[in-house]
Amino acid sequence: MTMPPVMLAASVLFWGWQTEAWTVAVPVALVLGAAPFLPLRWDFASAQLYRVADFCTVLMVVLGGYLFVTYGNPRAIILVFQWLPLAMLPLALVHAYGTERDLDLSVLFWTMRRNPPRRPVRFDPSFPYFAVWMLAASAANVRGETFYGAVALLVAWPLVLMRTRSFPVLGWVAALACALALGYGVQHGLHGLQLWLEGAVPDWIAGTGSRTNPYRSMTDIGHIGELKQSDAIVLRVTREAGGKPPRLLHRASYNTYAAASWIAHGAPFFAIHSGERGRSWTLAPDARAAERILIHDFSPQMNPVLSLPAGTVAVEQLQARRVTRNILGAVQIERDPGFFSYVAAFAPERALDGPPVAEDLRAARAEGEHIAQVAAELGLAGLSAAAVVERIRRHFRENFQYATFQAKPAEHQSPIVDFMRRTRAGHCEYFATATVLLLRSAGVPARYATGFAVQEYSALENAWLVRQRHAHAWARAHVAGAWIDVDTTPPEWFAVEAAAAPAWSAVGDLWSWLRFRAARAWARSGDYLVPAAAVTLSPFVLWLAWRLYRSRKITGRSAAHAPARGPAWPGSDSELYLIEKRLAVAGWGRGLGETVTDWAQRVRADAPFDTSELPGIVEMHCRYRFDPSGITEAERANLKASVASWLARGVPGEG
Amino acid sequence: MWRFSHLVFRTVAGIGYWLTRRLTRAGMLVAGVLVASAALGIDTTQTVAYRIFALAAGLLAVAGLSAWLLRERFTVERFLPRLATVGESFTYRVAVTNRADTPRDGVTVREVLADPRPDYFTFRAQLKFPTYRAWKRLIAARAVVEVGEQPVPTLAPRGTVEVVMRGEALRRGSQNFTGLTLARADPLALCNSLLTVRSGANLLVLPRRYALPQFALPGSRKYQPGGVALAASVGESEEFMGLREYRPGDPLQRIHWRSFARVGAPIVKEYQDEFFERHALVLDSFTASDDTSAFEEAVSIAASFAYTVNTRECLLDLMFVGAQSYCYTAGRGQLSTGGLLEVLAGVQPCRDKPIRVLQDAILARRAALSGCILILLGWDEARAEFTRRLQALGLPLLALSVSAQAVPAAPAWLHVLTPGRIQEGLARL
Repeated sequence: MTMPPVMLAASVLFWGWQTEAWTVAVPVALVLGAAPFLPLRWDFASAQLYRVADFCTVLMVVLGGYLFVTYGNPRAIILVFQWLPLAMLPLALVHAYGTERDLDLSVLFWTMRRNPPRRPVRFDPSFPYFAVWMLAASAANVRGETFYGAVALLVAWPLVLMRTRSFPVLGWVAALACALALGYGVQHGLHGLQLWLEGAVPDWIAGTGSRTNPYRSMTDIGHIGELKQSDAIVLRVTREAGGKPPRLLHRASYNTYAAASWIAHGAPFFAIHSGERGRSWTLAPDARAAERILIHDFSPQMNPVLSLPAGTVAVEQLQARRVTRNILGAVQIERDPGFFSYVAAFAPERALDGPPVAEDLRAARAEGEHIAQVAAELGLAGLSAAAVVERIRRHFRENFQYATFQAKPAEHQSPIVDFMRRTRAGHCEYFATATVLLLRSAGVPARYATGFAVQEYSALENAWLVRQRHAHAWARAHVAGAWIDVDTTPPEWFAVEAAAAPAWSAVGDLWSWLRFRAARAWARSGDYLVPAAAVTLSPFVLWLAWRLYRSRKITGRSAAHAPARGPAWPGSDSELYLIEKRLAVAGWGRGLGETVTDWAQRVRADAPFDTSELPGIVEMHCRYRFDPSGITEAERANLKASVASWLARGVPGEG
Repeated sequence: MWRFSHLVFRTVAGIGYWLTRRLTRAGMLVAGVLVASAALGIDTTQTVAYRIFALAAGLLAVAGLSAWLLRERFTVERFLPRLATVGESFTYRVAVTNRADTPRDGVTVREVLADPRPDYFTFRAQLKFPTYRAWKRLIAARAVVEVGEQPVPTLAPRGTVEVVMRGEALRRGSQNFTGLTLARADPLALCNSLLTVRSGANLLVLPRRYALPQFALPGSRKYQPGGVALAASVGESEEFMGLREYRPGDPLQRIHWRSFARVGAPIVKEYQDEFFERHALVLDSFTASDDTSAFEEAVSIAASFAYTVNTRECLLDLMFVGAQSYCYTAGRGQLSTGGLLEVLAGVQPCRDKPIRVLQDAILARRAALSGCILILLGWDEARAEFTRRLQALGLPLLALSVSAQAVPAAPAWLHVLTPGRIQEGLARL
């Protein structure tokens, strides 16, 4: 079965509707849909088809490379699928405007070009291409019920045309309806299943890519530790004035501790108005920035959270649709995944979070008694806030050690009490949690802060690198009217984590640097990207078009009216063949080697419908076909009219 | 590793075979879309491809159920030829009868050949490393014929139509046809309802034949006025041998008058009585190599000679060594040419005997042979010695050697033929 002319164009328009890329979809649909109606055909040789297919491969590789570098996995894969049909468009065009209905499979596979199979395998690419456009439309991720309805209509179209005719129409309709209903139920079930899984097992789902809520309002003890397993570079930091940037970059703070988790309670996000040309955002209008650092960030998820030093008063040179923050110091922006950069203007050592609230002094319910005992042992009562901070620092410095990541302890056992009383060793989350709880028991408002530590300088990149394993947790204490960072984790933690880096980290770093440089170049090119790509690719496209033009053979005939190959034999246009075709559909076809006369006799003898005119028609046909002197004009017209009349009556029992 | 690989390849090939039978072309496209949409739509929040997956799954489920519920009633009869030839296509008829009271369309007929998957021991012996590509090459190399699927025209109720099946003979040997499968598409035309009818038959594929130029058999008569056919019709036919002096008793018709006039004494023409020439067509089947391309070409060359030599004029002894030494004679009252070709269709290489066995067989029949066509596999010391022995006995030889490598120091009378360019080599005979 050949694809009807406008079916492919319909799928292109459907893609355009879903992706909203009408400027691309409409011209493509017009060019592909017009092919059967235009009297333009080229005779492409195999070598030319191979060149076009290789060009499509190059387009796919370039597209995939650009998207991967810009967006990273998994978003790049989805975008590749979304734009894949355009990369295959050159091959679709040569098929639409070529003389061959099918293509050889070796066009798609190099191995088949080198070792051609004994029998060439040919296929019609129209239907697979039709399916690719629909799959690409699904990558646009437009929610709503119209997608399923539209796809069902598009799929039903070819199914109608190729249905098995000997089944009643009602049976076909029932089967299709059942299939559509079943599919509808399955798609809802699949989505519901995923949502249920996400809710039931949040630990292994969270953090593995774009999710509905990637920015947690809670963090479990052990989450930071899991991040430390990866060596991937997440930030590149440079200081405007040169030298070392601030040691800690803050991302989020939490104020409520319960069941080995920290929760940001009562801290909704609110919008910040943009300043100069929509690229700067002021966090503390009354403060003045003393220094600036430039941060290059990468987020595989939409709407990332910024990593900012303490005392950030403004975020500058940031491209974002919207910026929001909460009273705990977390700043989140609205933008697409990928590389982005910003400048943090800050006043050092003065965290500009809001004033303390009741939660900042709330003791832990389970561990409260034990924490109070430790506080009493340290003699924290009655001391000033600064003195409390100093005594706690000394206590951890002298009595505790750093230990690499440990998994969450079993339920019903307080990890903090175990840490403070027995093990006296742990990673940063334990030190930070214990510090906050001790500060609170001494009456000092405190919060649990998470972010990254900046300790590693790269000569290759001439910047300070921050990796996943530099994720860190510390305490923030409100001392003398300002929030300060209190980091009680032994300083050797950085060296201990660095020693655990894998041997291939240098290769990974080089690849990460290349991706970063490429993304920056593309980002800088901005509006010039598309013209630049067009200028770069156009010589290649022109060369390909010139090679095709040089070796084309324009047939000069309309494909719809192309005469049959081979010599035309007398009587080949006889109308009797229309009757033969009609009877074949009804099951009265002419047998192999059966003459027209014998066939007509058989039909006349056995058929249950009226065939009285058939012998006369057959006799006229045989004279037209075989008589050397031919038939007169009147007899020819009589043959035509008789057949038309016979056909108009129809064949009873026809399917 | 080998056992596991064999099991995996066998299973994958079986699944592929099942899918190609059970799914129509449209069904295979829908199955492909199912897999692609499953990969793209694994995260239902990132894309809506899972909806396409659900639709494709629904279509295939309903189509599969419909096909499973359909019960077809057909009878088929196959009219298979007995013989075919390598490299040539063949056709035969299959009559399909619809035993239902309603018409049937969307039906295709397909042959059920013997399972081509090799057993574990063949798999282990033939492959150097177990890859799926090597597995497919092994199956392709073992295929004797290939028969395509054919659509059946619309069948009237209780009607019969004949379908022409087209096949291609790939390799010499015997192909067992076990049955025929009729596939009818479900209402959605995605899945097939299958009816397999048991119908056993065998097709023997004869070796490929090359065109031979006009040539004289070694040791054949050159001056025979009429041959055996003339002798059979006129009653006497003799070969002119030369002139000699008259002996009392010689018929006067034989006096050569010109020589008589020159010499002055009666000179007569001497003739030799007609008798059947007997030529040996000797096939060297001794090879230790796993690559049988040279051997297959040698068999084809032997078939070409067997087909071309006129066995009404002479007897032709086909001699080769397999499990034992064989000699098949074609000609007058013996096997026909077709019989020799059928023998050659089943010849296998001999890997466990020396060429001396063949030499002894020929020497034992030396007295009856007029000449020998010798087809060798390569040229080495053993074969050189073999041909020297034959030549020493005065047996006229036409010697051909099939060798992929160049033959150093080949004698001038040895015709060296290269596999893949056999026709060119034979044209130079």
